[in-house]
Amino acid sequence: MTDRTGLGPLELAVLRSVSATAGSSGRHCRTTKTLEYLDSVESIGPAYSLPVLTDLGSSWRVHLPLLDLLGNWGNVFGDPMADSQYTEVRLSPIGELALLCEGYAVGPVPIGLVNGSLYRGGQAPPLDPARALHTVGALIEDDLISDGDLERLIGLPLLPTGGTVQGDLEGLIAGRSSVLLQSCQITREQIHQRQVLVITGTPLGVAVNEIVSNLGEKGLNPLHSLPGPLGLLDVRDESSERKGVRLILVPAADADLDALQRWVRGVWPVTIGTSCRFRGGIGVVLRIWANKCRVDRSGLAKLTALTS
Amino acid sequence: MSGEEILSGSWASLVAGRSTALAIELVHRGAQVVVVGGTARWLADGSHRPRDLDVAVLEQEVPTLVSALAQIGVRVSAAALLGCRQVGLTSAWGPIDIFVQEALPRAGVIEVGGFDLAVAHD
Repeated sequence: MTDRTGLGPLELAVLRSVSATAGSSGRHCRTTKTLEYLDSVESIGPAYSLPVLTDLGSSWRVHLPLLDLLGNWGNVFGDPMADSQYTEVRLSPIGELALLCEGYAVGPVPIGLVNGSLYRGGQAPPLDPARALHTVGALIEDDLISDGDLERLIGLPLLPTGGTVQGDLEGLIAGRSSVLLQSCQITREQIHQRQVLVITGTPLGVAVNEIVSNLGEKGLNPLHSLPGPLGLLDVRDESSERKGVRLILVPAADADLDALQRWVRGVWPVTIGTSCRFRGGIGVVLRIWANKCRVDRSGLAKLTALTS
Repeated sequence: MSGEEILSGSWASLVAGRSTALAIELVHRGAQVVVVGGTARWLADGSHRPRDLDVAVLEQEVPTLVSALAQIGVRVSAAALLGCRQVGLTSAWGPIDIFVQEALPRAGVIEVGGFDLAVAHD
């Protein structure tokens, strides 16, 4: 991980390669060209680099996408991506800023702080971009802010997929390795005079199709369903690229919605457990970033402008 | 979600019990398995919250396990289990790791929800 952006060496190699192949014209470059460059110049084969390209360019993987992807790169629903000859890529404005920062043209940008490393299988959970950048800014102004106040400023980890988090948050904030329970965002709506449960956010890294499949498998199939007063009549997938995730769970008229919601949360992967950790504690992590950005605030200012 | 709800762990225990529910589902459908790993420790003393279910199964019991898995929507062939010996699968109750063995570990019986589960001793 670099001190300047918090990105890993593989991610930086991908950014450099996209920049080299797409050039400064601002136009997208065919993905195969970038993959060939990565293989020949950086010695990183497509089997390794393609998932990184997808991660860095997908808003359902990271809060701050570093790449601007064109074509079918797959989606949060779990649909497969098209072959790389049919997709294109270029740096996003934040990706350009990251490379400028790595080249010391601007000050440090805390991309790694916001995006975390959970999306790539690491332990650092993602944070709310606005709150994270504001908190680093506040620390630059006043490095005597207490850890308690920092916790309130930074808030809970925030998933780019809109799911909720709970678990040993106290331990997580204190720097201990903790199991973070990521779960779906479940709300209630009145549709055709019936209260329904609506899933609008999911855990990070979970395909929506798998949730639909398992809710149907476990909740609706008479051969497989567990006994109990569930009263789940239907699971309707109204998700779309435009509307995002929207799964409608239709209960029976006399169903206990609280009980049904608890049951839904128990279905895998509506809720998943992930080992998470802020090394040294969230206070230490934030102070390290503030100290780096204090020397040259230009990167932080540019990132704040790009995300607001 | 309020801070109080977040810290109360209201559905954390539900999730922790998911792997046990999966073991019960399999046993209910005729599988002869021994629960090992994190779920076994959790059932024994509650000391470790499991994130998946680990089960050991004898070679000759693989077909009944495959049948039980099929009934809960998990497709795997007996040949694949016997060939690979250690297989990770996913189900609506969470991930399950299956260890095909020639001899099962020492186990005791724990009754959960009216079902007898064979649970490995440490």
